[in-house]
Amino acid sequence: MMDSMKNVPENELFSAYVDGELTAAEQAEVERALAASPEARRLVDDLRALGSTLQALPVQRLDQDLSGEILRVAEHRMLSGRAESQADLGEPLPESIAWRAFVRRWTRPRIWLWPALAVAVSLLLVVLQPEQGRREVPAPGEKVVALAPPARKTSEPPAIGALVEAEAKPEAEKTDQSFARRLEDAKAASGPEMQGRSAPVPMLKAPAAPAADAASPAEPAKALAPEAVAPSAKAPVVAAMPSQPEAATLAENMSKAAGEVTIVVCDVTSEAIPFVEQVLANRQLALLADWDDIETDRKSDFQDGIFVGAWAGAPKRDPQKTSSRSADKMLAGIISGGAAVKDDEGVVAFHVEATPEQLEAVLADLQSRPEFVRSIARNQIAGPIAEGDLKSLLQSAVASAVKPTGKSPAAERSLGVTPRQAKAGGSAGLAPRRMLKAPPQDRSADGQTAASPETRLPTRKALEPAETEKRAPDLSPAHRQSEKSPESGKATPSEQQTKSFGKPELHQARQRAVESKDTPALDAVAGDQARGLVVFVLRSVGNPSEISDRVNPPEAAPPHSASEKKAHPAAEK
Amino acid sequence: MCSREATVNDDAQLIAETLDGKPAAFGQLVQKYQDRLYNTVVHVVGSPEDARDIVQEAFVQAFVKLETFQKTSAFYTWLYRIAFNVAISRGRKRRPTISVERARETGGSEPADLGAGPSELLEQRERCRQVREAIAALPEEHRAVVILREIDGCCYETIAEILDLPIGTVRSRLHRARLQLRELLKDLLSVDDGFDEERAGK
Repeated sequence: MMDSMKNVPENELFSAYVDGELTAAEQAEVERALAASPEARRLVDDLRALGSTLQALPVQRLDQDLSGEILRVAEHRMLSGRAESQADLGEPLPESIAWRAFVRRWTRPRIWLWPALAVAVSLLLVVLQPEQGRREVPAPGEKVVALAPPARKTSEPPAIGALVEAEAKPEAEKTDQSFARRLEDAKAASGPEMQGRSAPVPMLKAPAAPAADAASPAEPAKALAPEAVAPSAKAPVVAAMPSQPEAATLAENMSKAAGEVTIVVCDVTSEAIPFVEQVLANRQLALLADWDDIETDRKSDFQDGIFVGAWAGAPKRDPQKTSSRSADKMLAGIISGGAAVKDDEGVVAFHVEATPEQLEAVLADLQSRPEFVRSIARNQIAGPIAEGDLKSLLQSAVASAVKPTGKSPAAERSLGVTPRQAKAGGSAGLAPRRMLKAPPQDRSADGQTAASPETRLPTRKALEPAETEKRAPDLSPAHRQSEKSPESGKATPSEQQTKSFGKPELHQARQRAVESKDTPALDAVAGDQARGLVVFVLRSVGNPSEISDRVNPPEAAPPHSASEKKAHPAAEK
Repeated sequence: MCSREATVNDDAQLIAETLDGKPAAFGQLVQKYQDRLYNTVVHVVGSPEDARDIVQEAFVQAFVKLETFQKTSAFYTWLYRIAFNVAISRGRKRRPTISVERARETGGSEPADLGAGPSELLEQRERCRQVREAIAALPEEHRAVVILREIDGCCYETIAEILDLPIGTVRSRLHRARLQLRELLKDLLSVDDGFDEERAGK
């Protein structure tokens, strides 16, 4: 040990000795060295003198109390969802962190994930090949029967089976097989977690044949794939998928009902989130409450597939849940809840209910800040959208906006994505990986994944017979039959739809509303027609420093805006 | 944090209040630590403006992440760790530039020796300038260790926690940093020695 102490200047024990950070043995060792070596003594003296010199440096103090500013910035940061400063540090925060922080506020685990997924897949189907499936103009008053119910009684034959009993034409089979292949591809792309699992499909029953283009309007759900005949845990999604024309009909049917849905796709920077929130707040647009936060009596309204007016009140929060979430508490009174769907990599969709004037004002506000909102695309698809459908729509919008697996101009049109957005890598496409995640539900034993009523899965609600009657006097025979013989052994699609609405009292209430007001039931219940549903899809195009690379090719990079320069003060120094 | 364990309980109370929805409690934490943190950071980064920004950012991040704060360590240690991470992320872009004059103008709190005359004040300032320049000349990893030890008085364990280093690394880096400073401030230290010897002789 003494050998090491001979190396006097470099031996770190002398520093530790000065600092009193030695063990007893080391202390004794150093003291022996000090007694024997003048050089060691000189070193220790210098180290002590050095310490005194450094400690004698005047204390630097801030000339102001930062607490107010810090709390203000922290609050803003929490509201904006940014974990760290971008502007303050002049260093872009990884985009995913900012977006994850944002969406964490707006999203929670939801029971609607799987049913929403199933509907979303059907919507994606429309998005992928609208030319094949979309009719030009839906005939007014045509039969509107969309989706089958999520629930079926155990004594009943499987919904799929019931549907499959309908005739299947070779053409439809071919189409469905093609779709089945695509879906299998999508499942494969969704990662191993999806492999081998039965997917939820309960609400994805084929709609009734479209009146406009179906050769035989009386044939309900004729186009199921052969795979659907045999219940298969391997391909339940495929089995339940409507054919493309039918899916298109679904979309048409959705757009037939009262109210319209405006989809606004915005390419924004990560820093735009507080701005967007502020714009919405300025226009008195409150985000519709989170499902978990909606009071129980309100849930029935949603579950029945109808938005009752513009529900935008303060959400009800579970006190215990809130108290256990200090972050929420710190933001209590600021966040009023929201309903959103997210993707971890930069797309958020949420919805508000807005009057046309509000919407226009919001769009104008958004367009006024190009440094935040790079582009806006708007598309009206008409409504109404039930709760489950809305979230499916959001899912679909997110999936279409994020990480496309393939370019699909038609899909871009469908979502209103501008060419510029497509250029930015945002062309819509099937993104099942983002959508097909952890299934929270138990599956039925036969693998057909019919949802139990207890799960209260929000789903696309078909128009009920009564309101359909009002809207579509020329109901298809199949539909009429279902009304007349509700107790028949094998449910027709429309019959199942009727059963799927859940609470019979709500169904009756809506019937009464139809009878008393002679207006479409949905409108009668929804009441506030002045407001339309607006789905905002915020697609992050990255931080300012990344925008030029992602939005434009390098040679066409736009000049940085003033705010972007401000965000990088270090770069100017 | 070594000699400051007594404050841990007070800090824990303020943190609990903050998490309970009373941001004013966090304001007290800011007021309690902002100057001390600033004094450390300004010696690390050299620039008063940057130091102020880093201090603010560290507190903001601490507030936002307060839920993740582990009570096993002192708040101050955790705050320092955040601040150093922020400083490091910024500091990689440029070398520290010690500006004594600007520090005086901005930080403004260099205490004058009220009993000293003009020449002595000038001498003090010159000494400070030399020391700061010597600190700024250190490699970043050495600078942080020696400042935490000499300026802030942290024990090795705390330094290791703040900088996420093994204690042995802290000890070796600190010694190397001191040897470099000893070399850089050789003249200054010899004057001190002479002054001390002269004073001892009296």
